[in-house]
Amino acid sequence: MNVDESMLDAYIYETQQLLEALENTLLAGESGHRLDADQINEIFRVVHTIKGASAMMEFEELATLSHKLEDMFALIRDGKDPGAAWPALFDTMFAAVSFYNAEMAKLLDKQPPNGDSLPLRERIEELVRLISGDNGEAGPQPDEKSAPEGEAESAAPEAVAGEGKEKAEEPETEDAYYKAVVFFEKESQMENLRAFGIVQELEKMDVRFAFKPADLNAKDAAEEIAQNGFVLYVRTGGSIDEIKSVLDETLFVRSVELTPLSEDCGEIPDELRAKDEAPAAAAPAAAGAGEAAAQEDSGGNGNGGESAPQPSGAADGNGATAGQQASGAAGGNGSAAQSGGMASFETIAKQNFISVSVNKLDSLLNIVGEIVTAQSMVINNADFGDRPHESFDMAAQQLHSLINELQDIVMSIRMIPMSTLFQKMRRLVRDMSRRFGKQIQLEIIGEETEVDKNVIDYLSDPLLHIIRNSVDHGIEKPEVRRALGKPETGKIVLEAKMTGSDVVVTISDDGAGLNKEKILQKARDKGLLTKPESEMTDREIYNLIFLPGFSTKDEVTEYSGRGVGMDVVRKNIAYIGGAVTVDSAPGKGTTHTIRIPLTLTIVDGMKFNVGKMNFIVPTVNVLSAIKPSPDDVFRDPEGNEMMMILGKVYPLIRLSEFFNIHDAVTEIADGMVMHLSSDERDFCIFFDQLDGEYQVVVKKLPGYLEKCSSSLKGIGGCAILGDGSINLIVDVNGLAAEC
Amino acid sequence: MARIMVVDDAAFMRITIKNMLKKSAHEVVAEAENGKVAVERYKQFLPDIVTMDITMPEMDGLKALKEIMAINPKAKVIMVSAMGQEAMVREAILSGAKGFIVKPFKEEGIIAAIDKLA
Repeated sequence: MNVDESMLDAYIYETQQLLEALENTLLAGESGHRLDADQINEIFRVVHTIKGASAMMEFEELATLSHKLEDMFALIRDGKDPGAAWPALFDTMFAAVSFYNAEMAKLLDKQPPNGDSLPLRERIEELVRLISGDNGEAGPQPDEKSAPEGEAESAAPEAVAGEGKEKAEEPETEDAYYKAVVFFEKESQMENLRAFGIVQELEKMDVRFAFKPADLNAKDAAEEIAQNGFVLYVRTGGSIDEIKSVLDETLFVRSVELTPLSEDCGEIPDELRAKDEAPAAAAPAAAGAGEAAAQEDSGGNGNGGESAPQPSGAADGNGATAGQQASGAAGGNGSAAQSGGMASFETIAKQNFISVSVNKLDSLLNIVGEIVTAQSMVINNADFGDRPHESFDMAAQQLHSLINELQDIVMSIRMIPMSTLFQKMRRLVRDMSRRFGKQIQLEIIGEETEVDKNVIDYLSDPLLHIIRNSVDHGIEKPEVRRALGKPETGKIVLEAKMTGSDVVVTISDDGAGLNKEKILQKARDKGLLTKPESEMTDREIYNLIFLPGFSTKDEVTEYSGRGVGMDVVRKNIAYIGGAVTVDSAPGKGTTHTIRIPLTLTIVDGMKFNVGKMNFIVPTVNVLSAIKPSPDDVFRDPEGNEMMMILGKVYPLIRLSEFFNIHDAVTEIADGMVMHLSSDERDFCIFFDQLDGEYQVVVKKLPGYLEKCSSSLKGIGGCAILGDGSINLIVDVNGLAAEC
Repeated sequence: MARIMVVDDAAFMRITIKNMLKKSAHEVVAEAENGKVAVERYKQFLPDIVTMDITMPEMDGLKALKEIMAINPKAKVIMVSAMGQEAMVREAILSGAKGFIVKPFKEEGIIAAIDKLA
């Protein structure tokens, strides 16, 4: 098949979604130690869909594995209870999900999905044996796909072999005989059912006919038809054209060889020749026709007698369908006229979703960013000079509000709920707690909280890492917990919530907590301490774990402690403009807090300058801007500058000193003060001059600047304004940490 | 040229079939992701030909086929099946499906099938 990129994308995306649903169903089922009927149906459907799609993509291993799973669940769905095999079944299913996920990851990396599913398939076969209670003795081979259905079919009262249609009133003498050999397209598959379709069509016509192979349900019927064609013997008093057109119109018919037979031709099955024989007698004759035919036919013989035809049953069946159709048509139309309109409207409304490539959304967002910049280039254009331009201002105002709206929409398109990410953690906790022999309950709160798609991508690894740590190092083993008087089952709470401009994700466990002494010791050994230990708060000590090269676990386990520790967590989160902190209470547990700005790229900001440097501070952080009086500024006993605002005292940071800017205002009376709020505390900054309010597109600082990270404290990014000036964006939380 | 409705719960399959039909003279005028929606859309769009997946949530392809045949006994429905669904294909044929196609199929296959019915 011609696979274009969009199909592969759709395949991966949908398969991943199905796997996620599958995993959630499994997790839900496992807590009850079995799957209920709905869950089994759901899983069956999921693996069936994956099978079909994988086969279309020609990913054989994945299709074969899915097929095995489908067979197993068909068995369970049809009433076989796995009983004691449930735990093994869950394990196998989780392993299968992991296998699929690994293959999807390869596809995403443009690698072929070359994993070997054989070990898994063997496990499934073993399970199927257990479930079906079949130890290899005779009986339906469970992994033989057609076996269960084949059984059902041969029991069905369908008279297929040798239809001698009862047309008693036919004038026999004028009838003509024909032989038609129908070949189906190669790879059209299920040829026996295609032949069955032809039989159904002929049933509706005024002809007598017989066919070969006589038993279309026989195991090898499809293959035989594929090889030798479907042979029809027809006796008709009318024109053969009608029959020919039925054959020609049948889907996937490659060719029809139609030859008239003379009445005395030995090949004509007896039951066609006979006068008005009861059709019941026709079947064995049809089988006999198989013998008479020149072609090799081993399958048809034995089966002829078995499928004793019951033409009345078939006729009844048809009659019933026809009746249903008639009454259904009347009822259906009526309801369509009355309620149909409403119902379809609803379903259509529900379905108004399309999937769009994230790349397109990225470029859309970029363009909106550029538009914002261009807008300010136009509105603040120097060519206007001092001339009044009232109508221009009005138009500009309208443009501004439209662009704002556009921005909001673009941002909202990119928002997706945390649930996908959070649900992934369930599986992790399950697998790890089993492995480490711990009992852990994961509680998820606020998974409906929406964040930018990018945030989800970058948050995934940090979250995995923190939760791994909680399970591995945090939560104690059940016996330890019992001894400590804690409930044996540990608890991890994963919560997301909105706070103004930020999304806050907390991960808390009720485990052992961080070991302050051990952290200090390690930091000392590695020379990571930057200030005297006696001056460090507990919080500062705990947050040492985010420093590069810090890892307290000596032994390396499969899940955590691979040296690339918490500093990677911090880096990832910093990349999306967020920050992570940790708090802990010995014996009570640990809480990680991740803050991520809600909107990543466009902020409203106040522009100001210090000397020749331009800065922008996000408006959300600004409480007030003040022309300070020197009387309000004083030094505390430790020599830190403080500022009094409305009777309250706040630390004051002179940005000129902080950033080492030499051409800046130094006299308090000549500059300005801005009162800022951060997560930690409120504080003030001193600068030269306020320069108005702007909407800016936040860009990351260039990579080479990021390398000298120590000098970038207090800077969160940069923005280019309409006039081409480069502005540094103040990281208010970062600055607050410095006072 | 025929107006086609593609019914499949897997968006991937709908995209695939649509992509394949792009090279034909036919136009996909409607899609549905389960049998229930398919029946509603059938009434609304009255497509010439329907490709109908069998295994779907809410309402499966067999039930949808029967309902569509009840609405229009001359409806042309092609079942999209997979190996292992022989019994359901048989039932579909008895219920009036014009034929079936087996996954995995090729572009030529589905276009030829639709050409034939159109």
